[in-house]
Amino acid sequence: MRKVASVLMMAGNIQGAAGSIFGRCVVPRKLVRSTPACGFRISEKLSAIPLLRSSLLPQRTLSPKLFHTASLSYLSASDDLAVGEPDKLYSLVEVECRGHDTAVLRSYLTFVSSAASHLNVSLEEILWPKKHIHRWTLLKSVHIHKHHRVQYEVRTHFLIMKFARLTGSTTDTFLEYIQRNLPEGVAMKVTKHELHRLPEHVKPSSEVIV
Amino acid sequence: MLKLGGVTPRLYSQVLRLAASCNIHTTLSTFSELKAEENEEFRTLELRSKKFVRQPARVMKSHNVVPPRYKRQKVDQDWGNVWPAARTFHPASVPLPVRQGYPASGQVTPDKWGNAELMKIPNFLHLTPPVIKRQCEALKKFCTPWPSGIETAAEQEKYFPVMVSKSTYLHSSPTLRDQKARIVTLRVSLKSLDLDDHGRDKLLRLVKNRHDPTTDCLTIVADRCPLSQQNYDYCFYLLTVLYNESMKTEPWEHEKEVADRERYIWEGSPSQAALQAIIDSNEDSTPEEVIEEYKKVVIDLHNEGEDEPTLSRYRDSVMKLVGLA
Repeated sequence: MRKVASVLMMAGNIQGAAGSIFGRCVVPRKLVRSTPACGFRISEKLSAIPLLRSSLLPQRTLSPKLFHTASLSYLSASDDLAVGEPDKLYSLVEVECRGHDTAVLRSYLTFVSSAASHLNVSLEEILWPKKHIHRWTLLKSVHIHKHHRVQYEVRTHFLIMKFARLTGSTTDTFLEYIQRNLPEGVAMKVTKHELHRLPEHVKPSSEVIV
Repeated sequence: MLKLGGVTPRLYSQVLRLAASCNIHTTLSTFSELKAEENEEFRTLELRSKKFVRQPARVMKSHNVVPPRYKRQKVDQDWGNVWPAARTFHPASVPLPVRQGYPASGQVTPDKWGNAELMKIPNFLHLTPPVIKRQCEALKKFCTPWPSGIETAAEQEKYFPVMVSKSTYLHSSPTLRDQKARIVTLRVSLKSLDLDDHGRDKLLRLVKNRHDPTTDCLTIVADRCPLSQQNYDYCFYLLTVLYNESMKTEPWEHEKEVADRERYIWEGSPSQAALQAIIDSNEDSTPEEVIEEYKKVVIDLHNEGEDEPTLSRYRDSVMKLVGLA
């Protein structure tokens, strides 16, 4: 995530004022918005990969991480960056947004689906669960007047977006982009379903290909 | 006409001017008389005090008001440079004639100038399609493609039998942390594990309701540690321990009796001995499929219980065995 932000800042400097990506008003907000508990593993992995510093030449490109598979070959040995650990694989990433305004959620969905199509992320399903209304009644007056009350309600609308078949790098990039542009008053819950091999001392059956 | 012993009016006026320049007090009346004498006008008699003379109104400095920004914007400008990041709605910068709000009676919908409703709501002016496209182009180099060969769920399970699920939360609150983010769920299908009958039976006894018989999946949820990394390690530790324990056979397991079995087993049962006696006593060799059918029907009767279909199948099978069907 630090890597993403630093390269974007650099790209902004390279391209100059005209036609720059974020313009001059980019504000580096907090890089880790998700809780440190779950970001722990991600930041641990990132520290293993050298960060792009401003001293490097702009022509040098970042190479993506390796990924699990039998069919793809590894990167060439001429790559300067150290060969990192394999990329994670997420069979499903569910993003649930909650807000008080459906119009805001709809606009956000337009943005997310557009970003997903540009980054070749498959948006499989969009769900709009039923809204939840929390109502409660209070006494209108500070003292006595029990027959005069006032009622409040809070409406929460839900939006669930399901993305399938994402690698770890793509997930980190896509989610950070989406979360940086999350509108005010909207909360997000991201559930990632990661694919793993069996641990060392558990023998796989004949159905599993190692 | 006042005359001061040979002093002419002209000399007198000079004296007065001198007196004025030297800040010497002179009587107004004398001066007005002098003035009147000079101009030969009628003197005004003022009985009341003079009214308050209204001063001219203060002239406000007219600032050079710059016209609103949208008037200087070109039609083919790059909107991404005008609105680069999320910002409260600013009517002078947005060239659109938007209106928002409930109109007062007899009025039209309020326009954008000084419109609190427009300023309150989040706008997406910083995320127009060309800007999204440009930003995604810049982000593409950090993305990796999905490897080929694991598109479907079946293939994914073949190569990666274990699925680990974690949730992260993003919301505005006094604290960054959400305790629910430490929960880690591990799912594995038992057909991916190399288990024999005894091992499977033992594992199911150990995990109890964490196993779903319809999908044949084992689900382990860990939330006892404060960090998700620790819960993740604990999940894998549990899986390893469960597998190894179920593959072991303790000496006391041999004390298991027929009554302890959770399923009816044909081999070594009295039904098998009885069938064998019938086959031996039968002169004609009974066909194999009749024996197999009888075996299957008796197993079903014990495992699935006695109801109409099982009983009718048992009856048919016995008839075939005896030779009456």
